[in-house]
Amino acid sequence: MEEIKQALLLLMIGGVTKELKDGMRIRGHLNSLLMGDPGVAKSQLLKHISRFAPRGIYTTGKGSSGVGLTAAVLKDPVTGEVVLEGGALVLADTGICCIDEFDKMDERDRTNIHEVMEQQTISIAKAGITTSLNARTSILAAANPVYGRYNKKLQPHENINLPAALLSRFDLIFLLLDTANGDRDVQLARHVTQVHQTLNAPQASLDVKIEAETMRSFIAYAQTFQPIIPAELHNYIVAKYVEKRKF
Amino acid sequence: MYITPRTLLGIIRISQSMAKLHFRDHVKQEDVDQALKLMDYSIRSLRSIKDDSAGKRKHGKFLFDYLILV
Repeated sequence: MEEIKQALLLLMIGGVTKELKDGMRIRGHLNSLLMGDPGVAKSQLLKHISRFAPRGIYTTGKGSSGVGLTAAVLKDPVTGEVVLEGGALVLADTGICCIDEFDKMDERDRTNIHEVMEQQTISIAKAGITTSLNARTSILAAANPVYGRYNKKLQPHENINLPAALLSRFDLIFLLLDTANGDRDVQLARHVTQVHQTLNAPQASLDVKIEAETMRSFIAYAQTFQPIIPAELHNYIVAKYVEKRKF
Repeated sequence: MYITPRTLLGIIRISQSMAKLHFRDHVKQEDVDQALKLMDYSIRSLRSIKDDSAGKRKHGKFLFDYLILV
């Protein structure tokens, strides 16, 4: 869980978006997928991030259509003109779009997201309107394995029924399993009962408690930096990547 | 989980984000190491899930004991 929270913090900060001279854009926003058993607080994390981030949108896969996420072409009832209405991903521009129940989404609606996740634009060619909208958003998605719960007898790719084209677009994919563990179960049960009783979380083991406002200013300040990768690190990164590829 | 050229971009992105987290204008090797660690954790969580049938056997034994009792 620590690693996941670290990843979510990095997701809120984001990387560096590079714009090339010819107009090509290299994405700097991180995308992340949380996949796991029911009841491991995936949706809670998503909800919290969407509330926490300065611009966060929360939506569920079943409740969103392809055009609802990208953009819809409507006819203005008064003037009769065709107008373009931005969807959730356009509204989450420069922010975070949290999509819950990602696996339950319609395949056709899901393919609309592919473009956003790499090119960070939405291209529309409908009803005489041909344009491209900005959707520079980080996507944080949550999904359940194929049969609701992770089946350890099956291979990982059999449990995750998302196409490779989509999975490769996620920078970090986390698998959260709900395994019984005595100490953890006691801790979790104590926490839940105490929250129910007092509406306050028990005193955490951390000695400092950071307020949400402090955290937001911290993230905002961190976002003003545009770090570059020094030339001497290039070989290191290349070597590490090639090593990973060998698997 | 496949390692694609997108993974390389991912490593770069996460390292840059890590440097931003430390309010730095350049990426250090430790940022890259942290990024790789995070990525390894993510890939490992997908790869190394083994069927632990030990738990089931224990359950079966319990059932067996119960049947003897009855």
